[in-house]
Amino acid sequence: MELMRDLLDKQVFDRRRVKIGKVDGVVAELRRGKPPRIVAIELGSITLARRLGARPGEWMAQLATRVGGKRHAEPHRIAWKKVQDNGLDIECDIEVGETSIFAWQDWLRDHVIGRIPGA
Amino acid sequence: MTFGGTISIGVLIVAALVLATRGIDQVDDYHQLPLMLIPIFGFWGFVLFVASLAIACFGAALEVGLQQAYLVAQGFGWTWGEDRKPRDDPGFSAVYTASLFLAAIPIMLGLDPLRLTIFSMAVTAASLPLTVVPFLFLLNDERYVGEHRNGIISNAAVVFIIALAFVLAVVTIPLQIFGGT
Repeated sequence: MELMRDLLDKQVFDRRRVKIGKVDGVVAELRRGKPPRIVAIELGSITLARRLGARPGEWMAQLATRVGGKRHAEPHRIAWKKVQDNGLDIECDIEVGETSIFAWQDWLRDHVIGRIPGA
Repeated sequence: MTFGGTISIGVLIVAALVLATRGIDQVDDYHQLPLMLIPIFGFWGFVLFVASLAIACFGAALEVGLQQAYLVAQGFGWTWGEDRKPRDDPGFSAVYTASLFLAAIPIMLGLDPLRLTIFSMAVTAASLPLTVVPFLFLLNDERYVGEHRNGIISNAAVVFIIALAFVLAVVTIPLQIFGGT
């Protein structure tokens, strides 16, 4: 597996085949005298902003904390052992409802979209 | 696509026949457009024109709004789909709702609709290569398209379209600057 080609920016599904985002970042553990090891993938705006640089990352983290509270101060992280590559997409052994990944979409549904008649 | 293409060609022909014979060789205002149908249909030509303009604008607004939603939702990997209820894909439906309002801003600020149309068409043409080149790779990638992978003929067609896109992209910007409206 080539991390840049086969993992980064690929579509992520949860256990129920719900599209939950893209692989925005990869977390590797540096080990003395051994090759680095992938420990998790990251999703979310903070990780995306960090790809632009450390400062945009800090700004986005501050913004996310202000808007979403403390539980949104860090990017969403999915442990590597729950990650499975099916060739095209990335499948994770999690359920999006149990994470805060879609918290903003839930907020949007409850406060805006859901209030529009017919929605 | 064929239907829309036929209609577009029809509009071009009628415009050339009617407007040119009446001494209009440069359309620089949308108000000139109803003239296309009035000589033949009279007042009802005007009504017909208003109706077709409304239908075309309505369709285009839906298409453009949805296009933004697909772009954003697929780009960020959210749940999306026209056949879902909006409450099942709030992010997706929020984007097309918001883009309808955002799209109205330039017109509300008083920009000339005709110039805005021409400008955005030029930008679209200039960005065509960026959109079509990835198709060449995608349509040849067995992981995505499996047995429907491009053969020689379809690849030749894609390469031809890419060449066309590059020509259009190179030609549009100077035309936009020096060609007038």
